[in-house]
Amino acid sequence: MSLSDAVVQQKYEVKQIQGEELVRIMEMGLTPGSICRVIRRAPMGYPMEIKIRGYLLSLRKKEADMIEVIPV
Amino acid sequence: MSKTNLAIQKDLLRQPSTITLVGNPNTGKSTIFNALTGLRQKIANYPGITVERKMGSTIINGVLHKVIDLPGAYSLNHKKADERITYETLIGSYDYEEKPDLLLLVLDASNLERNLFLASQVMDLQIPILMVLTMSDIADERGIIIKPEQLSSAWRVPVISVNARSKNCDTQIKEALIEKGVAVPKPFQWNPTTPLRKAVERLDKEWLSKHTQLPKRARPIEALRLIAEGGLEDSFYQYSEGGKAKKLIESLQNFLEAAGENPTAAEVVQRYRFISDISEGSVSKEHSNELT
Repeated sequence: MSLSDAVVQQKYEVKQIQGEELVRIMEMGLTPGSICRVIRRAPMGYPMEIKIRGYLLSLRKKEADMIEVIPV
Repeated sequence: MSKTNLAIQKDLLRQPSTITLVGNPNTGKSTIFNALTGLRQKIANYPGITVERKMGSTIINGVLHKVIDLPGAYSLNHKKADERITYETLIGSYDYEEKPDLLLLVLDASNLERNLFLASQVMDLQIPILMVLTMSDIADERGIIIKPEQLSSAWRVPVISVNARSKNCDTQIKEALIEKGVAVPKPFQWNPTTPLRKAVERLDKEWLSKHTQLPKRARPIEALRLIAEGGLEDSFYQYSEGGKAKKLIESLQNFLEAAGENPTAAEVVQRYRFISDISEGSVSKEHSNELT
């Protein structure tokens, strides 16, 4: 599933990232195998805030769409 | 662990030097810069791009040194203008400006893993470094305890922890520069996989060393960048035999894929893998720090 469909408070493992900005997203710590938790989402769903490697990161829809995750 | 395996240098600061601050955005770099330079600073723009570079000076043991504050960056794979300045300054390709003689590598202790990503890239450049941890108070509040000694033996550079907002932060840094000194980190401490290492060596040997003027210390990290990018489109230095480079990069990408690695992602993945492993020894979490 894509991180765009993720539910608040649930933890996910990053499986893979695809798309043009792939490296930029991975540089922020979202590498395959890393665990993130969705902290909150804006009223229309975006931006969404996740916790990854101990810090909070905000993602746009475009970016969340690129990230494939599975719930853990 | 003993400090004997650190390549400590203490005599650098007897000569006037260029001290450069580098780190992620919002780590307290500019606060440290302001503390070190007081009012003796000027702001310059880099040609063609509207990003500030701040320059000032500071006196350590009676010697006047130049201090440069670089724009905050998350990575040296410079795609954005400000990160590009940081990369180009560090590899020494701005010829109108001195190369940094030593670096204050500033890391936010409350967000160490992501900060160590940039740090691990910077440490590949073999410039003498003092690692400066900031925000330890915030890390403490979150129950994250960083052990500077362990960080120091893991990365083989001296490490200090300062409160950037305290009045004597400049004194703490100056004392550390005198007493702990700086060390040139060993490049590629993050254990690149064998295929990645081979690809970097080949691009360096067969093209970068022959057809560019890049300094030796900067070539491996530029090789990594070119392999991840898959071409020369974004290059900022003079080169010859571009066609040869393109073919070589393409064949190296194929080589990595055949070895089961994603050429675009291999470097980032391996750096973070190493950082997670190392952080287990140097970071401990007292209690759960999940935000609700």
